[in-house]
Amino acid sequence: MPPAMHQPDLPPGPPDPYESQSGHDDLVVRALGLEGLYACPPALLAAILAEQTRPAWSLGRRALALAAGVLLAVGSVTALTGRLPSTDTPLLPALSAAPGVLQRADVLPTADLLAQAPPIDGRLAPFAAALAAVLLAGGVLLARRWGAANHERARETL
Amino acid sequence: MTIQVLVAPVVVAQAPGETLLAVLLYVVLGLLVAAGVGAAVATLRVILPGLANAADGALRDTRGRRLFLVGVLPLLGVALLTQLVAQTNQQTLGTLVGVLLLVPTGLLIVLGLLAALPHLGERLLERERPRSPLARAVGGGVALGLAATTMWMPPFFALLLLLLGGWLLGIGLLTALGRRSPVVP
Repeated sequence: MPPAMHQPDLPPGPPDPYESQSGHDDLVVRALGLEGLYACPPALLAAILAEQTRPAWSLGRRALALAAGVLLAVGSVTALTGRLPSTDTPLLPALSAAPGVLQRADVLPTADLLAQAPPIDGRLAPFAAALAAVLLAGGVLLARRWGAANHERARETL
Repeated sequence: MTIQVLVAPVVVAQAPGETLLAVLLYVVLGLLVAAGVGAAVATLRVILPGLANAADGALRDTRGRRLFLVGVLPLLGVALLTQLVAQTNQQTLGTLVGVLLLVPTGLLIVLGLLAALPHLGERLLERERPRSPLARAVGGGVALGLAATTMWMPPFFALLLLLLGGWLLGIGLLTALGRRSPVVP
């Protein structure tokens, strides 16, 4: 029997953040605490669950924010131009009213540069698609890993 | 390697003077647009301070190589996938890739611009006296606009586009995905 159980006037321990919500007898909780054991009140369980599932919630919230951003971008372009955005939508609509000398796209070599990209062989297409998926996933995973490390470092600095 | 490989031949049509004038007007117009983009970024930073601070944090806390790697990998993936989809000539697939991939990539690049333009302006313009946020963003925009004139030197422009796009996308991705995530051991 530990000596703490024999002391009728137990000195007050450190404040328990879950004490008011635990629903347990205070004396029992403190005695268990002296033994290194802690009751698991619902609030603590909820906190543990929230902590463990936070990454999933966080990712979902970010996906929602990105989807909202996409909707906003597509919606605003559609509202401005009166049609869904496409490659035919001019980047600078005001240019169509400019003098003819400014409407000569042949002086901008970028379009030619992009058009000169070699086509991908049909047999290699699945491998190219897999490579593209790997590159995309790799970037996203690295961003999550290193971004989380940044956040952790910043939190430690604070 | 001849000079024609390094420098894109400006198409000389019937009126060479007109071509030169068009190039000059494009440069002037491009610089105006670049300054406008800088002003728009400065305005967005005022409207969305939380997002701007997060982007600043991602740029400040991440080493350069990591930023490039995080951005260049998905940028190459998006370019490859876009090329593949363009070859299939399927309208629905194109729309799907555009909405699911290209628009988010564009948004993330804009997110990267929120931090990158003022950072460029600060590093390139400031010596002793600090500049206003608008001057920083516009200065960064003009610097980028001037850099874009390398499009008449295609190999250099392609390299610049890859590195710059990767840098901006890296900042955007780290801002969007990196915060408040658990550290992966």
